[in-house]
Amino acid sequence: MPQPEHLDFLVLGSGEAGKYLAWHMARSGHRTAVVERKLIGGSCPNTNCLPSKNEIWSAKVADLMRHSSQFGISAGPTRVDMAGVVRRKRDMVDGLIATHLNHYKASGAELIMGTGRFIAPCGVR
Amino acid sequence: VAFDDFRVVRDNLAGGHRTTRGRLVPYCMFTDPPLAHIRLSENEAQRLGIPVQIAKLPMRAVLRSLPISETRGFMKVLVEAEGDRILGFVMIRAEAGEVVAVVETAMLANLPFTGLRDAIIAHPTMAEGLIALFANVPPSEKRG
Repeated sequence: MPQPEHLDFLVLGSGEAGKYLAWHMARSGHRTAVVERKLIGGSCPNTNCLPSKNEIWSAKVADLMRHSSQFGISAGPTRVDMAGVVRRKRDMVDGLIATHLNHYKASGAELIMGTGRFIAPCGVR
Repeated sequence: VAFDDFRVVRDNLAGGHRTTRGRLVPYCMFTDPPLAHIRLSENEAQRLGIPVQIAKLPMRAVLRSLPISETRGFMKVLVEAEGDRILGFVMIRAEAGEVVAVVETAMLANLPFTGLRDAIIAHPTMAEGLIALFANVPPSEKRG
């Protein structure tokens, strides 16, 4: 059995509320760690709030192109390059993850990739 | 502005005593990107010797700017040096005219800047950037 490690704060899940709390506590001088199963930064930057708005924006561009004549603009036939749409989104998400990792580094909070669960009122494995 | 001129004249014809003095007048220049501004600017504050606290936020720090590729530009706010009233605001980038209306509402209501700083604003919107912008206002000793 591994030796227990003592922390001031341990956050389960690196989503919005948890990550800001962890960065704040670490910056205030507390020994802090975050356990994250998969998505660094949680759903918002990875799969939900921002990637969806990114694709919706590409859809808006396609929509404007298709109706460009309404605006007095003549464009050629429009084709959606889904690989390009996904690439643009992916680049944004990669940039956001890099920003998150910088925040962990700068704040001193440790990011642990894995699953945590309570084994005692104040103990997590 | 002209519409408000109409309201002033209408109300005065009906026996009111309104003037056009002291009106809060924002503007939005519809360039691409747009530039929107209200009340005191940094230059004006310097020229008039008005002590202010200034906070700035690059547009890249506003999450909404990322999915719509509108990451260049900034928001800037001027707050009373020894108080919490908002004295002026400027933004250059997408939706600047809409965001300035949010700040104008706070100014009209005499809301301290902390009212916007501590608000929950729909995510991800450009106006949400006001939370981070106002969190950047340097602390004032008198404000505490």
